[in-house]
Amino acid sequence: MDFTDQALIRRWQHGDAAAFEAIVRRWQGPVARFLARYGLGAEQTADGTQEVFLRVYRSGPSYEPRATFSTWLFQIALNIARDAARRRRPTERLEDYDAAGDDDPSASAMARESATAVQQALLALPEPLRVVVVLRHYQGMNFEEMSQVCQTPASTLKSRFAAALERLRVSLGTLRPDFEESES
Amino acid sequence: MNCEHARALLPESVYVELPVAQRDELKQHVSQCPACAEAWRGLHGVRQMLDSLPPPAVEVDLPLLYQEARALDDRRLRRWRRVAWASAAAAGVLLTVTILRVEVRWDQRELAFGWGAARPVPPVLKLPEESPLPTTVLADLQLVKDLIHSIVADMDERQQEHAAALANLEQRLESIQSMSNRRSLATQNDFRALYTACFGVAEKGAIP
Repeated sequence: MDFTDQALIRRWQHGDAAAFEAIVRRWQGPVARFLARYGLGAEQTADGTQEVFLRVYRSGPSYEPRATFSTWLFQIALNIARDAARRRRPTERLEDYDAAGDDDPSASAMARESATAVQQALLALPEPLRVVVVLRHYQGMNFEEMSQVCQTPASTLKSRFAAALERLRVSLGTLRPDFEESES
Repeated sequence: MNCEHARALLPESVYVELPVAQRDELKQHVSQCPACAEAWRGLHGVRQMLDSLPPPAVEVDLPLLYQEARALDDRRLRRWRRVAWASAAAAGVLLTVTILRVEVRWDQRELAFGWGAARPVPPVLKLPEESPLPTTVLADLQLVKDLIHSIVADMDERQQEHAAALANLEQRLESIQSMSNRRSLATQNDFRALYTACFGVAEKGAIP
């Protein structure tokens, strides 16, 4: 049975340990991706993901669903990402976690090169712009949800998003695939 | 729709479906404006490239998580216990000091402990500030002082007179006593001579 986040939280708050594990399984990927795209290295991403769910586990009994669970979860993740960025270790290379499942070595090398360039372009963005791109693009949040996560007005986030995409468009211009509008 | 309006809508158009009218207007503008068309293609390319990043393979270690949570809870419990003990100890000391009225003092290089009633604190004498006396009072004081001096001088003088009179009286008393002794001796001699004359022998026991 596929429970909603709120239902899983309620079950967990009533002592169902399996509900917490279901929450972890559901959200560990998105949280890890958020931390990685925020700019943490592979090791910091793993540690940060563990830390996010540790905090969720410890503060879960007092959690009250004022907003969506994901909003609360990514608030925690953002705090941890910022803390980790303050005591940043040298960022691990992207190859540490992206080389799986490609049989063609040259294609794999090109993909790695491209991924590295994209990751570097993301890292080159100022932190407020990068957060907006990561939440919007990778978590699919709308501006109202992002406003709750970042504690910033939605209109400001909208401007930041436009500015961030414009910067990425410029910085990734040479690598950009030739996109053809399929629907027009 | 102009370029400025189109550029404002482009980032969102890459991610969400715009209202039909707005979408059609944008499409029409992009089809006629090479710069906006280039920007539109660029933004779609960015989206594709962002998608190309592989997801990190991370799995939460649940047993470790439970272990860490227990350790943190234990640490918090220990911290609270320490705080509770420290508070209780402080309250006990405070209560003891209040009830027994414990006194600790450092006095003349000795550490002294005491309890019970506190030592009475001697009242601090506060001398009135000196104020200038009026001239008349000062004159009266001088007069009294002179009077006392004259009385003392008079008493000294009288005492000397009394001493001289006393010495004179002692001298007279001594001369009277000496004269009396001489007369007594003469009387004895006369009596002895008369006895010898009457009885022909010296008085018995008399001194020859």
